[in-house]
Amino acid sequence: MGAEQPPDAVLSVEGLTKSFGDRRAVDGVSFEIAPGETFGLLGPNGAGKTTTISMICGLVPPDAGRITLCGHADGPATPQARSRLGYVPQDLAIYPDLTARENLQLFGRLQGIPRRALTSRVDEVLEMVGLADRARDLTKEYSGGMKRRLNIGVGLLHQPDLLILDEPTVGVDPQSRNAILEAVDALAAEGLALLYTTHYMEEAERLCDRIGIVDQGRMVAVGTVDELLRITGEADAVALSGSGAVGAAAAALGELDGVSAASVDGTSITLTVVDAPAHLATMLAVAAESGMSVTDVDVSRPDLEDVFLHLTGRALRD
Amino acid sequence: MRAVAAIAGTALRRYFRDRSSYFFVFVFPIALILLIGLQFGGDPGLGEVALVGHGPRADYLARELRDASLTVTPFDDDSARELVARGRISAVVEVPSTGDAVTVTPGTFARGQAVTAAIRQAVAALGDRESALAALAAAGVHGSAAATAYDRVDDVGPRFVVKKSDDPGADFDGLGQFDLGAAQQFNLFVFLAALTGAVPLIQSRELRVTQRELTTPISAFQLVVGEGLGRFVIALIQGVYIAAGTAVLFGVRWGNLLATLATMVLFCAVAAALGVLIGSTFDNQNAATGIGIGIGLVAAAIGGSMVPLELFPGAIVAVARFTPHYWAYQAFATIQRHDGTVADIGGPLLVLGVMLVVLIPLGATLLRRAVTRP
Repeated sequence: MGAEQPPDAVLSVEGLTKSFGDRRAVDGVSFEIAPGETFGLLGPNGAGKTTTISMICGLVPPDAGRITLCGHADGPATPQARSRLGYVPQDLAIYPDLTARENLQLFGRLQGIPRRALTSRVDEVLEMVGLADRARDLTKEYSGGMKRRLNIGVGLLHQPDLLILDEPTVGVDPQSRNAILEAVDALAAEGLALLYTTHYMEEAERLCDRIGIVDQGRMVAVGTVDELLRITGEADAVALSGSGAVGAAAAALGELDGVSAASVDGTSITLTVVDAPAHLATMLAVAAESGMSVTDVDVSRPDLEDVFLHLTGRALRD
Repeated sequence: MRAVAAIAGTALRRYFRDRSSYFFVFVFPIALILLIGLQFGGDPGLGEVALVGHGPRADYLARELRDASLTVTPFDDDSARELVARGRISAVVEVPSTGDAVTVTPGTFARGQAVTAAIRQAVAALGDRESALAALAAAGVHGSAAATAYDRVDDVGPRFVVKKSDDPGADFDGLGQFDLGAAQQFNLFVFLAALTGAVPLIQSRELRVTQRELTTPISAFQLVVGEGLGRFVIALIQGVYIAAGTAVLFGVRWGNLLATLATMVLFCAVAAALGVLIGSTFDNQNAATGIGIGIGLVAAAIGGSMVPLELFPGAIVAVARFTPHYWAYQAFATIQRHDGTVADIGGPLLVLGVMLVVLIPLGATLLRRAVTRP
């Protein structure tokens, strides 16, 4: 986890800490984002992703730590720094009783876009998010996907150096989700620096150049997907499903050579195993001896879910 | 400034996009003006009194009651009491033809106390007359000669007027029949309407638009000023509408235009700022509405918008000084009753200005705190 900041980093976060009462929501988080880089914050709900983003956007003051935003050492405290930031919140932060154009014009004025430039820029963004033909409709008449696109459009309006997307696909239908992911892909291809938070590992794997895994407020690992997968020791994931003494079987399996982690989820056991095929027969025998009747076996190559399990001892979806 | 104007413009656009807003801005004030007109306009008199009884005593009392601006309707039986019970007349006065006591049955009208006081005064005059006639009879002057002599008392000799130094009526010298009520209703209505500005701000926070706005280069102070400015413009439109309506329809004299406008502007600004403060403090729209109406009614009640401040005891007046209504009332009183100008109402304007200066930063602080809550 490098606190070392590249000289041209769009965003550098060092030792960011925030507590609400006795609960420490963010605990010493550090990372940086280079120009044109897509950086993902991956973690379960409640891991501290949104609080981290709220601090970066200036909504929540950190208890400790430093944020350098687009060269501004005071981070989001200065209006100049915030003007370089685009924020797409998890919620649809648009007025339903205004049209798409009116919503964009409002935020354009708040961003200080000159009046003459604003009209053409609003038109560009409406085209970009595919809402040009519905620009005069109230947004409460939009579908969920259209609202999501407008929500992103507001963040892009002032052509920021860094776009922050906070779980933009939560509660979105599959079709709209694909559209959003394609839009994010396109923005990354254009060279825009992105900070993308999600608890969907497949989104992080697909979109992000580097990923920071957060859990319980701490950044537990940072790297490219390949770098993170190596953390697990290139172990495989083995899922055993069945009935009987599942807990006892998991405990016994966890003691086997080559098994580095074992967790129980209902009637299933998830194991992290180096070279799973070589140990599969032994594992099935141990499960049977422990009183578990195995009905289904699934062996898969490690992914970010396994990395998270390896690092935290818990599944990402927990 | 452009950002503040954008936020205010958006608040106005959203307010007037809701068609029910037109009712509150344009229809409701007219209904209020008509209500006030029915209460104060057209010189309807103090009330209607049913007079049961015949003879010289009843005739004399009827004249006295009419002189006291009461409408007197003769009744032959006790059915008048039923009309009082149903609230159709203000009181029943039963006058025996002999020297027995007069019976008064007051109703429950809003001005029942004033009606009762007028009747007491008329009955006292009747008592004085009968005592005087009895004294004249004892002195040898009888019949119509005594009555004529007594009735001419007011036309001869020196007349003395007793004026009490604490006479509350003197405080209202210079006011037209409708002027006081119009200024009171302005304070009450505009303030209540402005406090409802809390709701759109809570809606914006719930939609997370407020939070998103705070990630742009604007400050919480600018945001609060923008939201408040939108509500201020709405309140001022309502206020000017009420003032113009009462002036045109009921001939209300608002006095010096500049002084009246200055009072209205500052009062509306304080009300709008308080509305934004409530919207920054509470997370629940219903709670904010309830609190807003509660604060609006209590402040109006002790600030002279329901009962004139001059009728309050000193302790309540001391508390009333903490309400903007009190200072607006004082300013309007100076303007309307004493032809006051801006220079004459500097004190009330200064206090309203101080309230505004305190409320806006406080609102910004509370708004910032509200959006940073986990």
